[in-house]
Amino acid sequence: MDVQQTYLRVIERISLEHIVLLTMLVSSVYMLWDSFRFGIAPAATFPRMMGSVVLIMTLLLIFRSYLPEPLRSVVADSPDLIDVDEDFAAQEDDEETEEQISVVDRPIHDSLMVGTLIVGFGLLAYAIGIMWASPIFVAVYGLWFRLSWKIILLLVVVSLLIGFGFFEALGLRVDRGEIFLTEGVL
Amino acid sequence: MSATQAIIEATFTLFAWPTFGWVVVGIILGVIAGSLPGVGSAMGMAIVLPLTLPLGPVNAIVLLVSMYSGAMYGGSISAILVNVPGTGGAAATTLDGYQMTKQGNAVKALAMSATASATAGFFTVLTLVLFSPILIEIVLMFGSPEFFLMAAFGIAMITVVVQGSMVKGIAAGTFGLLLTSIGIAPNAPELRYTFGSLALYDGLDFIAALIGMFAIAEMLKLAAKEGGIADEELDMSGSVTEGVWETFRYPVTVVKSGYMGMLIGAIPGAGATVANFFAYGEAMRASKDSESFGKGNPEGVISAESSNNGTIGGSLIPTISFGIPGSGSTAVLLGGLLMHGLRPGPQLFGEELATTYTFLLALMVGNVFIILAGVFLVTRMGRITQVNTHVIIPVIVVLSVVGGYSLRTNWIDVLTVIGLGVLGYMMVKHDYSIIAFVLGVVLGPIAEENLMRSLQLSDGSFLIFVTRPLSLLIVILIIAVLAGPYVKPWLADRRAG
Repeated sequence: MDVQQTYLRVIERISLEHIVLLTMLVSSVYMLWDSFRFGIAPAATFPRMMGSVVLIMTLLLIFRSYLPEPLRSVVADSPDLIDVDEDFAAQEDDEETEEQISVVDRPIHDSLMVGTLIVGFGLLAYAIGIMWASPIFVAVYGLWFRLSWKIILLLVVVSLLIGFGFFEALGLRVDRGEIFLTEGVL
Repeated sequence: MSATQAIIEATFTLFAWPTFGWVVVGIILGVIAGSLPGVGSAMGMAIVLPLTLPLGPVNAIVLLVSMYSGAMYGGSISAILVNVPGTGGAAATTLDGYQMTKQGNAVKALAMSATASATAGFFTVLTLVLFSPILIEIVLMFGSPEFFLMAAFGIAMITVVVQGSMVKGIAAGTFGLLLTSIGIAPNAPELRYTFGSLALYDGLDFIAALIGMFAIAEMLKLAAKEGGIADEELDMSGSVTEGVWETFRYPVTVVKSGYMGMLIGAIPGAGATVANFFAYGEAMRASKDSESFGKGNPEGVISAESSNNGTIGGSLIPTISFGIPGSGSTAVLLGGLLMHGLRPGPQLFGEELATTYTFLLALMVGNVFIILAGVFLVTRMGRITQVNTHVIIPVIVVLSVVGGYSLRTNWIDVLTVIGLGVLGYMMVKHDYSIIAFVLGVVLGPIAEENLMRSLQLSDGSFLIFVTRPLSLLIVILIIAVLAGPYVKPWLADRRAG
């Protein structure tokens, strides 16, 4: 089984919604639990209230398929308080569907690739400084999306100018990394 | 300071340099952001937000509201030229606007859109200014318990109005509120969820959350769409003057659609998209020639475009009065207000009344520039829609990361931008309201502060939220909003049965 098949199987089994729900569940459980260790009781009121609501809502969403019918529809269905004409809504849905179809022959979904690139950009920016990580990010992005060399070069220059602009205008040390180039270059 | 004195002071401030220049810059940036599908007003404003740090509060807010106004018009450019609305608020504009382009009337439709947007925008904001003394009286009646309940009411409204299940909306909104409890507690010296890290002492920055949710999440979504927005050569034919005069042939449609937009815009979460379709539907219903709607009827463009700029005045009412933004753009605007030390409610209608009137007047004056942009730049605007999305995405990502870092030179903000951006993308994909989440993140500190102050006033009793008449009224409204969508069909069934 090659990498692409494994990737497709993983994607099939894990939906993005599972990640959202897991994030909310873990965060709310931890924040509720930790709130009982606060030294000053009033500081725990707000996080406990909100944490409890997030936890209950998340559990309802996770187990919505197992809920009895009236409750299941309350949890899963859209209330539609404001009704926009059905014909218009249908047209909007069609447009959305058309927009979401990406006709590409790349091995990984574009959004996933861009997400990975952005995370990589963040890590690289932390290591060597935003100003030097930006041209690398835009160049890799341009290569992935097969942009012309002229456009990639233009993007590299623009990204450097953005960094330089912030450095000059706000005195922001974007030329300095936390691991490398810690003294700055400019 | 009386309202009249504040208006006079605001007029002098607005027409002084450089404030007036920021109106022009804001309108131009807004038109560009609005005309790029996938960018829009909320994202454009979120990107610009950190750059407003060196500006004073007045100039910063004038720039942001002008962008908001410009983007509403800008959204119609791609809607008319390439059948893709730049913002949700221009979705109904495609129905007749694009048909007009196909009939060789693109320039006329764009000029109509500019004139209708500007006229409705002007009158609705003027109405807001005229009614503001009443609004001031209402806002000053509110105390801490009411402001806490209004935050809850705002999230409740958004969860029932936006697409997706209400439970998802409540989960998203309260998760946003929960995240704001990271860092030092507002009314007690207690460090919460900092893991001993100094970087987390001040909690997550809500501007970083806004940038992540509106810019990074939207870029991830946009990345899945292939290539440019409009690859074909655009036919920029038609008459500008004809378009301007055509708009004034439908004064009732402009006024009615504008005020419909204003009313719908004042409902948190409803926003320009809903107003757009409502006004279009009403114009079609009232027209003697309803069959030509969808086939290039100018009234269709006029109604849709009048309504979306009308929502600006409406959405500002809950935003500046109670700190409840009605849309993504007003959430960013609220972020801008808070970032520059302006608290919605009593402060904006009291000591900062002149500032409030300055940006309301800036919105009115900005409409003149919308007409000018529509008339003089209209033939060149088509080029904006031809920009390849894959050129826009890396530039916006770089701006977002640098913008996040510039807030406090804290890497936690960059992590927030990227982390919440990725989470926001997943939430959008599964109908979790990011507006509710953002509202939670922005309102969290204010909500907690007001909750704690209310509990201090009542010696820890939650009864304070039902013993004051105004609080009780808001509690009843919250229950009605949350139960309404389920009780309404049940009542209808009972009546029918």
